[in-house]
Amino acid sequence: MSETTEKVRKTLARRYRAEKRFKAFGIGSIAIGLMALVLLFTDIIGKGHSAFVEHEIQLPITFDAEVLDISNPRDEDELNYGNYQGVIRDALAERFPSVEGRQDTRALNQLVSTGAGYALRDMLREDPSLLGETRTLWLLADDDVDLFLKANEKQREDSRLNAKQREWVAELEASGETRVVFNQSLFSYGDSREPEQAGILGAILGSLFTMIVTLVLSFPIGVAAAVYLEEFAPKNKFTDFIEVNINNLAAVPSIIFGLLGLAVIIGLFGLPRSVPLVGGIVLTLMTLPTIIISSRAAIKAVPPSIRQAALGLGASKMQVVLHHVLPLALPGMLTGAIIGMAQALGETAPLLMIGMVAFIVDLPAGPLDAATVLPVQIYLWADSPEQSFEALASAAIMVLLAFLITMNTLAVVLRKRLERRW
Amino acid sequence: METAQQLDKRSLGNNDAAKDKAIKEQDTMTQDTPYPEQTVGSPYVDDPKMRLRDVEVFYADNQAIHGVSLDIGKNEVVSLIGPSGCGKSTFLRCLNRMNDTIDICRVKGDLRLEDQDLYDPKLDVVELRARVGMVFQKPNPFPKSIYDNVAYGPRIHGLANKKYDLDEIVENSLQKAGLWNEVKDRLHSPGTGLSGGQQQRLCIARTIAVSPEVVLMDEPCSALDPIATAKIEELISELSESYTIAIVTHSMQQAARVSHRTAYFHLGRLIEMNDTDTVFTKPEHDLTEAYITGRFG
Amino acid sequence: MDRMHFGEHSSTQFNEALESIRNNLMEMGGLVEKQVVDALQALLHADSDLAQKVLDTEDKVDKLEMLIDEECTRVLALRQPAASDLRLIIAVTKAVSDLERIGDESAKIARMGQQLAEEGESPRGYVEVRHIGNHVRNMLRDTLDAFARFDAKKALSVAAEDNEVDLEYRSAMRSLVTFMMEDPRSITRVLNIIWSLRALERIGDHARNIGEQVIYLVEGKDVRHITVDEIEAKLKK
Repeated sequence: MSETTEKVRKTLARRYRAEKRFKAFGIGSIAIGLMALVLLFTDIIGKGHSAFVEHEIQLPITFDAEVLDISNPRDEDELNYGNYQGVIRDALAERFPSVEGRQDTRALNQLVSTGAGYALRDMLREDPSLLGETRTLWLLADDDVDLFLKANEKQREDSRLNAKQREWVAELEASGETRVVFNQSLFSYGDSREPEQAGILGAILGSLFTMIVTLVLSFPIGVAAAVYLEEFAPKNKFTDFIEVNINNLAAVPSIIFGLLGLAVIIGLFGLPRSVPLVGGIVLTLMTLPTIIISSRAAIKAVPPSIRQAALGLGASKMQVVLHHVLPLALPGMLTGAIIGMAQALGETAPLLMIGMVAFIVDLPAGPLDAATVLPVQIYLWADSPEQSFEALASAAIMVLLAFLITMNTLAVVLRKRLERRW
Repeated sequence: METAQQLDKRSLGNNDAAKDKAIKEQDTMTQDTPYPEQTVGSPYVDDPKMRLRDVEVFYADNQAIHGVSLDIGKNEVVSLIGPSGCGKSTFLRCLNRMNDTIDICRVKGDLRLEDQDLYDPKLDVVELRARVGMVFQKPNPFPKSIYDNVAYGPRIHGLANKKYDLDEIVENSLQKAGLWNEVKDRLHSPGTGLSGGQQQRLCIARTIAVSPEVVLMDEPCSALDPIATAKIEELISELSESYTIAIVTHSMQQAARVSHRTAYFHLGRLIEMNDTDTVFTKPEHDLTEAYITGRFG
Repeated sequence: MDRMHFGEHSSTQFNEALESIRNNLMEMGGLVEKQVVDALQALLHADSDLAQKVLDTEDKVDKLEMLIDEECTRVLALRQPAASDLRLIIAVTKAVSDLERIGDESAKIARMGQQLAEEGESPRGYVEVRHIGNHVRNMLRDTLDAFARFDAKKALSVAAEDNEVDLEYRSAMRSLVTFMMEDPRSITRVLNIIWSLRALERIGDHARNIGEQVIYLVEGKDVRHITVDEIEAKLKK
């Protein structure tokens, strides 16, 4: 064994130790990251999964024309002003004949959601012949009842229901007059004061319109800016200045963009508040730097040899860009855009500033209807006093995460599929 | 205390002898050998295709080419050789104004393709590059099909109106580049799927598809194996029947094999230009001799 | 002769190969020069031992010739020499075959010496042999010298001297032929001298050839098959 080998061997042990340490650090940090992720998911799923189902109570409902105060079920006005609560009240009174006194009656009536009346109206509209008939129907339970039913023994003690209500619900549960169904209203309604009637469809639509506006504005503008800066702009102090500022813009807190939107777009240009159009414009401002930076990186990554080849053949600058640079840079640009979009999708702060935080029950039909977006909806619900909203907020978070994951996956898939090797 | 360099700089403006000395001292490799005042050998020919006089190239304040004058004759293969950084590629890229793409690069001098001044502000560089094509060091086919690679030039210049004409141009170019038989069955598969040598021949086919008068080649074989290199060299000899070719190469043997005349560049100066066999058997200048025989580090 | 720096290649192996070729060439030149001198001595003094020594050296010279040729082939194949390196290799391969011929010619002279030692001395011709022999010896020495120093001028002087040798050879031939006609009995012995003179003249030609190779090596100009004046004119260009 030579002297060198001996010396090398001595250092080898140290080197291996250093390597092992480094590996351990790496694995440790990944483990911490994973743990945080698992914690987040278990917390959110644990809280939110119950929001995807809700409870219904079985009641024999008599569509009594007198109680309903409806003579012609085909008349829309009469239908809309029908006293459906009265029918439900009667049904409940029939089910629990022993209940007496105003207070107890009201407590009994609170077992069924106020939204159940609308379901009755819709049924009647569908089938006017129901008037005067009696049907055994499943009606949406009130959120407190729902929570009580979803809770375990211990949690039930904290329920907002009073002792009698608990008794009644337990009786219904025991006799099989309650059931669990998929929470359809979550995906088909807008916001509501009543948790069992609140849905995220309004927020999803709001987010969708906002994203469409953002994409339509930011992608062409961002790509055009990147192409100009990378390919055509002269290299001087001024373009350097612009470059520095674009990079700075990417680091500006997003709420500043919200203030800008409020002051300029709403204040100066007089666009309405709370609409996805304004939200989209504000988010465009926020997303642009990301798209410009990633597009420039994608353009820079196009091998100069391809450019030279085209130039050498006599292609003009414009042809080089359109025929060669853009097609090759497109996957990178799209990836950047999708990641920018994902970022914008999760953005809350600037939208708060432009009024997209309003309580909006109606579903938006276009980018000019007042709307809110998913993250803002989450913020609103997380802030609500009603306990059921907590689960709803978690459910909305899960939906939002699903969208984000889908978008990021799309980015990866797009890049993989469009990417060409050279 | 002033450094020697500063002293040199100060004396630069004063007299020419000091200037020469300063330049000589910069060049540590060949301290004993002065530059010739004029290019030795025979840089000029009668009735040249390209007539280049007093070409000077600057990168910002750095002068990369010092007063190079030479002719490239019709259907001639001229090779430019010299150690790395001698300016041969820079010079070559002046001939179709590829240096325009570098902002800090300035070119001075009288460069003519037949009677056309290459740096005439009225001349469209696109037109020039259609007349003076270029093949690059690394095979750089577009990430498109073989057919589209070759058809790209004719398409952008509008050389073919009908599909039939374009097909013919593509076939002819591939034939001339000696690639037709190898790729005729897969014209629509990607050009990047070919081997390195085939890719380079594809690039040559792409260049000659626009029927240039002059083809510039910047180390076309440096990324290829010897057999692919031999094929390209054979191709160059064949092409010289219809095109004028200027080739930059690091391989002296390659210059010796393919070119009619050879120009030796050294630190931005054209030291010697002569018939290739003269350069390789009895070069006139000592710097050429030293380079040819491998006496530079 | 500042261009002939064969020791300054980037590749030391190349340097060594060229150095070895030159050394072997010089060794071979030395041997051949010695052969010529010894052969002349053997002839002039009818020394058959010395003549045998000349013949024995022949083998060594042949081996050196083959060795140098092999080295040159190897350099050509492996290094693709160009310019002065290429000319050196070409000049050496040609000079080597000239040297080998010179060796052959001196062997011839040595054999003549042996014959004369057996048959008795020639009545005439020794003066001419000595005279031309000195010339030829000088030429050979000069030409090897020129090769060693890459001295084109000296090589040119060798070519000029060859002309003198040719003149002297012709006049010696005339006088010896006349003598043979006068004294036919001595024809065999004088013929030996004539063969020797003929060999010496050939050695002069070979020395001139080597000189021409030196000029090609140094100046890069082919000066074979032309007169000395033409050579001078060509070199001045």
